[in-house]
Amino acid sequence: MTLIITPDNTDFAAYMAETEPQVKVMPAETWENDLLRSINTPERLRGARLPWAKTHDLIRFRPGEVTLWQGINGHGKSQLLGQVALGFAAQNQKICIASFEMKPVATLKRMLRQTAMNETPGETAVRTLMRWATGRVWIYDQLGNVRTDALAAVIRYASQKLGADHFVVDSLMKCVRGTDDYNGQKDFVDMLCTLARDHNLHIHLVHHAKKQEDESKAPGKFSGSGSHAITDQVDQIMTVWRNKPKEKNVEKALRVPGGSIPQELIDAPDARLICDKNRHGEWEGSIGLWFHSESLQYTADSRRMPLDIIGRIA
Amino acid sequence: MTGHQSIVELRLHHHKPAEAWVILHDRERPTFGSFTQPETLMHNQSAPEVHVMPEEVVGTLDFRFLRGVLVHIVGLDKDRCIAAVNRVAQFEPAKAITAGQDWLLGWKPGIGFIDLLRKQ
Repeated sequence: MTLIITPDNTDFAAYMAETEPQVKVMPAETWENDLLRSINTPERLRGARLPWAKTHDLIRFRPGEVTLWQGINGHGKSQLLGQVALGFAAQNQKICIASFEMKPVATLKRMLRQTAMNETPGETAVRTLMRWATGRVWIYDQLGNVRTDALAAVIRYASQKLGADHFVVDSLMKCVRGTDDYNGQKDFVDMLCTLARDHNLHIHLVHHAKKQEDESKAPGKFSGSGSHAITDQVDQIMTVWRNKPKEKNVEKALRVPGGSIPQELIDAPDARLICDKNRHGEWEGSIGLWFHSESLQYTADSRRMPLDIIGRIA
Repeated sequence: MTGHQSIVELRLHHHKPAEAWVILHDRERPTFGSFTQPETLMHNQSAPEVHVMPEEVVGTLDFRFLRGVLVHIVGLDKDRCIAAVNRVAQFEPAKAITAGQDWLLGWKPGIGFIDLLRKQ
């Protein structure tokens, strides 16, 4: 169909202003079909899954939404999100990672251990990862602070030209200068929400939690540093919390000559992934995760069996 | 909904497309390539397309950018297509036509719906 463009003699801007109320107020029966559909068909969870089967019926990552990944410095949020991103790629979702705190090689090195499932992956593992990642994983090569308009252009490019389904922004503090620039933070998160919606991709935003005196308690929904508008605008909030009390107790147990780690400590999770907000789902709660230090993977139970993310064994 | 922003932009610059397509997706969200991105279709001399996603309620959509434009509405669900015509009609299009597997309906200002299959 050929495009024909004609002059528009009407004042479209004035028409838009005049008709604003007409667009926003609708009769209740507008939603009749949707209401009928909602009672006749059970709500089906859709979207990309986390790597752990026990979460598949609890939370998903849909296009058009934004998830905030928060946690205290050093509690492993970037590491865990890296594993989650690999899991998305394994579901044939295209991912683009913008890590302003790590060089691309460092990001890939961590991914290499996570996919090779060991501490010292060899050349074959590198080649296997690179073949697997082709057409699935992209990295935005930018260290340090970034201008928000430049990042928006990259997200648009990743979506439109690369077909990215997920975009990781690590972290907010590298995009908005000043922890007290609340308006800047609000505008930035608003921009991410608009980009996610308009370009139909899921944006994952990493954000540091406020420094706490006591790291033994998991940070809550309102523990992220900066503006409350950040948590208000995003669709989901995931908090990564490292079980530091367990680490201390293990250390204490091993300090005793001939001491061993009690079973209840072995069984206690090394980390918790807490869902503090789930706008389009019902579940809010936490799951325990166990860390497999050789592969830098978080696993679903205390056996600590790393997942074969890229199907090396198959 | 995607594809509408380029039409709004055009209209704010005192031009309008003679016609536009509204495509209702009922099951899965579409994926677009470089040449099929709805917002850039007009750059390639193609008629503009506005894609409505499965989760969107057509009766709530802002179709003001279709005022005075000939609108073609297509989809798999007849009820949803008719709901889209009704919504578009609220914003004074030049004419609206919806077609599907077993229907061909027109809408004209001052006349309303016309069953084009029965007329023939």
